[in-house]
Amino acid sequence: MNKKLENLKKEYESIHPSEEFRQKINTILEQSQAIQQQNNKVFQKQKRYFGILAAGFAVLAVGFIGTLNVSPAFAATVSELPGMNHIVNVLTFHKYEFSQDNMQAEVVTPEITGLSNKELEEALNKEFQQYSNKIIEKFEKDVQSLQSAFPDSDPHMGVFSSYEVKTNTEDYLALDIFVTNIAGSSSDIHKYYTIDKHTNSLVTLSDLFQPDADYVTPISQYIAEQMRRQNASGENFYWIDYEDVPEWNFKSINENQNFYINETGNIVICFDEYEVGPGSSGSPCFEIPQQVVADILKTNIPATQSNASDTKTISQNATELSEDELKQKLTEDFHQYGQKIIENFEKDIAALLPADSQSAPHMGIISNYTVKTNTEDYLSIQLYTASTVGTFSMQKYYTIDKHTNTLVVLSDLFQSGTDYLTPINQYITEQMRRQNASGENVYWIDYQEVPEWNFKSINENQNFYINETGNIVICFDKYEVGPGSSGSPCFEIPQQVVANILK
Amino acid sequence: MNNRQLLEQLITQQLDNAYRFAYTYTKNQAMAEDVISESVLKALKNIHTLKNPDYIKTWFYRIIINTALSYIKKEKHMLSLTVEPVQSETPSFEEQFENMDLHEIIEKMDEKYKTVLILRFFEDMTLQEIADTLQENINTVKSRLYRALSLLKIELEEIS
Repeated sequence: MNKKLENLKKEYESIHPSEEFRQKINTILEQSQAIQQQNNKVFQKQKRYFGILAAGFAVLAVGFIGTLNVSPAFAATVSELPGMNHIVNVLTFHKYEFSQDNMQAEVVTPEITGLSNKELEEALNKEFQQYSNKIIEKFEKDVQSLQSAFPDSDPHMGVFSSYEVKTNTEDYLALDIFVTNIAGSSSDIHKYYTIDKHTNSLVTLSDLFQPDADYVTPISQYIAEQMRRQNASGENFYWIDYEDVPEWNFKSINENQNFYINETGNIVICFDEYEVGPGSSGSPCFEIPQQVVADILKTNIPATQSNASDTKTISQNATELSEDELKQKLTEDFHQYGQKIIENFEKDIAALLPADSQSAPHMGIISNYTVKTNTEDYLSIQLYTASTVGTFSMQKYYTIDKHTNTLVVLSDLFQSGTDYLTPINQYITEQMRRQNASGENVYWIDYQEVPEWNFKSINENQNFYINETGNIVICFDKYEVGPGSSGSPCFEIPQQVVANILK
Repeated sequence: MNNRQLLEQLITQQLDNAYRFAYTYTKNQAMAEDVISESVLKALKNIHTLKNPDYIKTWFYRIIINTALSYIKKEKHMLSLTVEPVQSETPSFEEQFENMDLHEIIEKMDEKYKTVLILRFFEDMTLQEIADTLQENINTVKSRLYRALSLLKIELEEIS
């Protein structure tokens, strides 16, 4: 090669990016791989969540005139619909969000409504709030101390706490409050609450069994069998018969083991990460079949089958546990739980920031919902899932017509056989060009360099919702019609664009 | 190996080269890093649009070019319009290139010529690959390359 070119090439090759840059790209690549797996998990978790909500709601809807043909149903806003506010529901009371540089937190606090035992309801809700506040306080303190300890670097950490309604039947309400994906070793912590709707009390494991019955042994035996079976089949891996570290081996559950009652009315025993297996084994749960405990169960599942003496025992339990005792018990539970979170949090931070390193990988997943519209006519909800680092983000919108009680799809809004795509596309195209010209945003339209990215048309099933004014709002995902910096844009379609084809 | 894994391998192996290439556009380290980060994300997101894995490098470089151009466009949009344009084809301007070092070339040479020069001699792409990356006709690429070399007053016979 020509000498001049050789010299130029040498100069060229001496251009280097910063060291942080290389790490950043590695993190993105790792995230991308993790996200590929997470995608499946997130979707499955959501499917499961909605499946449970829909099932729970279907049970509640029996007895009302007409049924809601919604898949999925959202308990959160159901209670706001006319005539439905006496159903027991779990709403989001508060959502705390913090985002600064590479430190993120989202703490979602649940609130129970519709319990006929108002004192219990208030006591629980207050405790949920106090617990969330504790997490938030701790997080904020940690942010400050990290920033003062490492002023020049950009520490990464995150706290995500939210809740999931596991069961909401006539008989039981079961709630899972979890802290997940704390930056670093990502340990999941779950805390379950099961409320008996008939006795209006918080259910402990011993409550479910006849007094003085040994429930620990049969349940532990059953679980040990399942663990051996799953180890043998390779389904999962538990510390049972583990010769290397015999003290880790599962021997038995605690009297107050984490549990909840599922839709079928069965007891589900749950373990935290690292309780019965390595981190990769997750936070496993075991459903205990009826026959394992049939002879020692109190027959209060469901209450209609109990005889008089059992009913008396149940109501005795309910009145025996006064509000103060319940509060105290919950407070203790929350303290212990909070302690555990704090311990793990501190462990994770210690692991995250070895003294000689300046940055650390982090990851987090947020999944939550927003009510966009709640008028007499429509209910619109946006479901949002995103990774806090990297590119994955997804929005899904649901609009329910309150008069017909159905889930609205775009084609439903227009006279049959009419072409609604063309006028909408034209309008959106105009808006994109206008925003490109004014510099308001950047869309791929008339983009000559990569014409295949150019916006041509919305899909028949394009994400949309109906806003407070009753107008259609079409929404696109990140990267659907523009680069990442253009966000997830929405376009409100004015009445006149579609006036003549609207139903 | 599927396309996604191929992409990840490409990124890992070619990261410095990709960065340098972006730098010749942005002339600025921070922006070049941002350009590559965003290009990596875009590529990972859109890997399913890549039909033929043989074209993965040219596809990725095209993303880098487009991303760099949109960053620069956005920058220019915000700069005042009193900045004098540096591209000029007056003879005196051409004379300057003869003894420039790389830095000056990056600063002053028109992006059209700079890109083909870098892709051909520093990234070792074939003319066809450059044509694919830029989505240009191969003859256009050839003439730009010869123009770039003549600006540097490099004798064509010396090039292998």
